[in-house]
Amino acid sequence: MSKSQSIANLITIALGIFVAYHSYHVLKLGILIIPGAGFLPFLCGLALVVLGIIWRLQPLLFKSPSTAAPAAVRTEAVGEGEPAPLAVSRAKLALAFAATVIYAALFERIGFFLATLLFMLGWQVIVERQRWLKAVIITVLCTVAMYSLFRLLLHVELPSNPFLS
Amino acid sequence: MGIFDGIISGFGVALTPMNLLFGFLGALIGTAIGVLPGLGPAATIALLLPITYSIPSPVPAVILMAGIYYGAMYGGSTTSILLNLPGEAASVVTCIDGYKMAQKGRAGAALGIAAIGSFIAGTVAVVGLTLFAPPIAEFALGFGPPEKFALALLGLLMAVTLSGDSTTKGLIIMVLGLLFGTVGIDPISGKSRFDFGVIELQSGFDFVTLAVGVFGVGEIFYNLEQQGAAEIVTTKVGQVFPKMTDWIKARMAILRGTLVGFFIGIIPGGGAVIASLVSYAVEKKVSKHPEEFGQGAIEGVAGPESANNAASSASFIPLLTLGIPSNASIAMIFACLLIKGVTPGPFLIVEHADVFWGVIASMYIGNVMLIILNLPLVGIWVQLLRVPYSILAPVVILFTMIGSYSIANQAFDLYTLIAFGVLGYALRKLKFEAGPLPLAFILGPMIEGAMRQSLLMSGGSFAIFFTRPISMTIVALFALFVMGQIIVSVRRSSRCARVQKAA
Amino acid sequence: MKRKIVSSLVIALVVAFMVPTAFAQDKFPSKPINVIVPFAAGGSSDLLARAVERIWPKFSPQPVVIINKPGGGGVVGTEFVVRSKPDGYTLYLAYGSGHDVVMPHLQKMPYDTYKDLAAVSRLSVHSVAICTGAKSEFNSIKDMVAWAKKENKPITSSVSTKAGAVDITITALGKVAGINIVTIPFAGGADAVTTLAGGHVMIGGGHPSEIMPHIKAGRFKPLAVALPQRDPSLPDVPTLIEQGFNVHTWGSIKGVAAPAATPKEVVEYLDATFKKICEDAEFKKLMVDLAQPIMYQNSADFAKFLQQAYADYGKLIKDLNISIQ
Repeated sequence: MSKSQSIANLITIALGIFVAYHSYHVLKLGILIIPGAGFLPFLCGLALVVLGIIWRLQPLLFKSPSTAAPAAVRTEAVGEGEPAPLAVSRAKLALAFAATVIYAALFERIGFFLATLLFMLGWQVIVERQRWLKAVIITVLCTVAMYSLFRLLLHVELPSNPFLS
Repeated sequence: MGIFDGIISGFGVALTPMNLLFGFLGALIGTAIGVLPGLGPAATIALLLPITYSIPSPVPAVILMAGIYYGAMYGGSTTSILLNLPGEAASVVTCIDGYKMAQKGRAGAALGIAAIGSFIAGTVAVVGLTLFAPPIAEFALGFGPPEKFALALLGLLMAVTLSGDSTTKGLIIMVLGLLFGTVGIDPISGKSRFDFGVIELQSGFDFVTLAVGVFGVGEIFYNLEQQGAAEIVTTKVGQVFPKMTDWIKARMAILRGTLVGFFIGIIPGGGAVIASLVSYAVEKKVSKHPEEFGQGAIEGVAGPESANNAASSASFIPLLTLGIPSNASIAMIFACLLIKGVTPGPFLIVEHADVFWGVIASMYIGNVMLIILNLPLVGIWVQLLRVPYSILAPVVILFTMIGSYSIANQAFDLYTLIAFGVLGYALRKLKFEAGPLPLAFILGPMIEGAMRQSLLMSGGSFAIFFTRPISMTIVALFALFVMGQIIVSVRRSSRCARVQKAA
Repeated sequence: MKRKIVSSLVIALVVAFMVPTAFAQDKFPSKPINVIVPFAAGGSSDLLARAVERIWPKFSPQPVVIINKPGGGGVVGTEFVVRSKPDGYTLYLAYGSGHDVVMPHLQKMPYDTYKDLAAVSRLSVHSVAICTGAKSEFNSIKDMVAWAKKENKPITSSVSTKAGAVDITITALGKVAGINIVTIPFAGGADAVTTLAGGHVMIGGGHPSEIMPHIKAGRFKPLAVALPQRDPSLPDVPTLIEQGFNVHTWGSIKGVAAPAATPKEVVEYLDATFKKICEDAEFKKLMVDLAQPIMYQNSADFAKFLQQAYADYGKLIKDLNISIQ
């Protein structure tokens, strides 16, 4: 079991324990003929613990087709042994993630138009390392297109710049 | 008025220039709405409702809204296939094989089959509506809590078939989905669960935010990491239309999907989702190559897409014959009719025959318009994949953010979307199949609520699930299905053990 | 000296121009008014709002815009209005619903329903009507009570939400009549009414607008209405009090509110406009179609009425020992 799988497994079991505990004490299980609010979450918590344990023990106990035969049928992207250039793209992902979070934070504060502008520009320049001129053109085109589509055409309510109104 | 006369007069009503225009407008807007994640037909219909006030007759208004409603069903599959972004619950199943097909360069085939299957299913469903509406509607009323429990449980079981190879992992995802579904106020006890003091969580998570986050945004995060120096294979476009072989394979899937969708769609609440799930499971079961499912089997697209379209057409039946809306979008259409002084219900066909038949006729026409609109668009949509990922990725993220925001106009949903995106990314990295998650999320509250309601009805007796004819039938189906699964997996592992012994 | 005259002239001119424009903007309303409905589109509150939206332009230069903000049983949308600018351009329609008159007794609210909001007008009252299936052997509440006592079995009833107005009303009836009524909550009024239509429960509670289509279709028999006097939209249905059961609730009240700090003239203008709407013939017809009675009250009366209704519910909740946690 790889390290990330192992951590995920432990998180699953921990989550299961927490949920079961919370359901039992806070939400109350009720009795079988009148289940309470905690009934289903408790079962889910238990299930997570049990399944988590099975998951951990599976490669050791069962030589079932899915663990024995390598993923010859699979055509999706690579699994455990990932190729080297990941360090570079991890940074890309981190930047993209940061951009998205910042967008969410700014969305209501500076309004849709400005936030989208900054997001696209930031993405092109920092995440994709685009040239400035090209980045600005792409940004403006996309932002205007989205504004027209959502605000003008579809009348979707989006926050406007509080400093302008 | 007999059925035949009714339909003729209905076409007379529906084919006037004004009504044709409204039908087309509805189909157009609906398709656009379906394609855009987060913007649902219910909200759009609500937005456009005031426009209909100035028109005296209710017919154009209803035609417009009905057009938006099933136009959205057509459009929803587009983003599911191209970007792994389900527009609504019923499109989630399409993502599974549809997106895989797109990744293999078969986006055109998938979109084409989805459109054609939707057309056939929608048309057949309207024919069914025309001929059998009133008796079917009464049948649907007989679905009380015990039946809804059994049906939703069946749907959940079917969702396990989406779990790919590892059943354990599939079950974990399903349980996770069930847990997400419990967040918020529990309708039976009134208690708020797992909200940890955050008031926005009291209404629970929104389905679209969850599905779009885990599937769509998660996929984008994953792709960004995988890209590295090379570009993703999505630029390989390949065939734009389905091949003859696709046709032959998909034919029966479409037919089965239509039947499944029609009957399950009549039941108020959750019809289209369960229909698409059941259709997928059925296709997988009857297929001679079940291992293809999850890797891009065209039946996995044709079946569920037909099922969800048949279900949305069928969901008009309770409205037109009983006056009971099955979901939020239909509720809006119901509201529109009421405001115009037309009370949907058993007397609609008598008191306002022109409305009844006019709407049905417009549904036939609407389906035709949608196929005419969508098939040429397939070529254009497929070109969308040629857009460089450096532009496509941020734009898609923006679309999903706006869509999520528009649900409740709160920034909290944006953060939720991102969090689900992270979850989706993690699931991909850990080799989990995320399919069962949104489905368990939707079915969980149905199952739990219906079960507790049933027990309240019966005073605590579990016999209620077995003594009523409909729920008993469904429970029997359920048991059969479970036994089938067990037999299959026992046979598989014993065969494997024999192979290993021989080796 | 010259410079002083010129500068003071300039200032005077500027002020002269500014003052009228400042006052000109004060003529209310000068832009569309947002009416927030904290429930989903298509529900009874939403339909009432849309009826208002339709008739409003007859009496006011600016239109109203209906915005649905569902969530938290109505709390999300209401809180939005509480926190909005008190200039009269953001209103709350459905003031007096379950989350205003019942919920504050059961849980902590993020705002004060009566201090943070100003009552503008009462538009309607959605009473709780109790029905049974047409094929049921019950023809009156007395029949039902007699059956329950003879068979010593509980009566099952569908209700819209747990501890909502309908639930409390029916539970109170059970207590007063001395029988056991099991209330089964559903996902809202429509769901509850549909379940009764399917015959899965013995009785059901709902608002007239929800049950009227089923009564017309011959699927329901209305047994009673829970108001102190008969409901105008169900004039042939006797009240619980008339039938000898001393229970009454105001159901779900539907009025309009504005943030508490809204200027008095604005509230008066709105109130006057709503009064005109409630007297309009076209509006009356719309409301009959929607099966919602028009029960107008002005700001002062409405505020008093709400306080009374709130207190009444509080007493009921205490007597019935209803709680959530």
